Amino acid sequence: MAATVFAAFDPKPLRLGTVINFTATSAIQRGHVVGFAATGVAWEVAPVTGGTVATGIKPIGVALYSAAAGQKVAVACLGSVVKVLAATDATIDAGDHVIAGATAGMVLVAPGTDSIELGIALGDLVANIPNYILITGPTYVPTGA
Amino acid sequence: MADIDPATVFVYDPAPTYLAETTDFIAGSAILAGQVVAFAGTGVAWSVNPCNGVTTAGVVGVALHGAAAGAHVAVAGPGSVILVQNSDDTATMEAGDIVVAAATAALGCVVAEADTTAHYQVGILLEAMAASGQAYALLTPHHYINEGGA
Repeated sequence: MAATVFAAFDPKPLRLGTVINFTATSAIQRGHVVGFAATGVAWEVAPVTGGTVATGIKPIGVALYSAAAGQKVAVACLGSVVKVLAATDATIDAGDHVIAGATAGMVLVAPGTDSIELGIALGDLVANIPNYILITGPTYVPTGA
Repeated sequence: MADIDPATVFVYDPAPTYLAETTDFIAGSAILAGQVVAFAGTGVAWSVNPCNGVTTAGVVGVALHGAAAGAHVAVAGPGSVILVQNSDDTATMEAGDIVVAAATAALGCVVAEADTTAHYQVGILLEAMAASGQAYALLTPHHYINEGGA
């Protein structure tokens, strides 16, 4: 499926759980799923791409507003109910567990391989229309292999 | 590479910068401030102990103060941002590492998820962790990593 093009949107939190003040290592748009790079730097996040263990990426939450590189950014983390954007034109069903997607700052359905889950979809996510997830992670989910 | 001595290192204030779910438990054995605590393998109602990732089971969080066996202890739970302790005197960790209850003699400590054995998740590091050191983590416990399908 073709990747959706990300455009900043208001994640419209229905509930804010833990909110952490990070520094953006690259430009972040509000609504982006952000996280640590494979080689993490203290308190620094960027839009993340790929949530399988192989990528080494560690998503941690959703940016509440946009920030240029070097600026502070508030990130909605564990326990928050916020909108995210699906990374492909494939539908994500309510109840699906999601990871960081193949396109920076978006989400995909958790795969059958080791992954770092970010949360669970509370509604269907269709192309180009953000919808809500409950952030339950990051949680390391092995396949048992 | 060796386990740290909990009696030596657990003299710090876990200094939460954010407290989310915080629950009052009873110490099943002596607990030091900053130790990761968990139910015993055979759980006892509302009773937690310093975790070792082996004989303890579900991790509930980090003790906010010391408590003798039988005393009440306040435990910072999911969503809290708080210091946790490295279990090892040579291994380091970095921001973004998923940390789990260390299966070592060093009770109440964490180790980086190694993708090899089953563990109880503690959280994600928000900064680098020096050998024998502490670092802030976002606590995401209550999650069993069933690596190996055991």
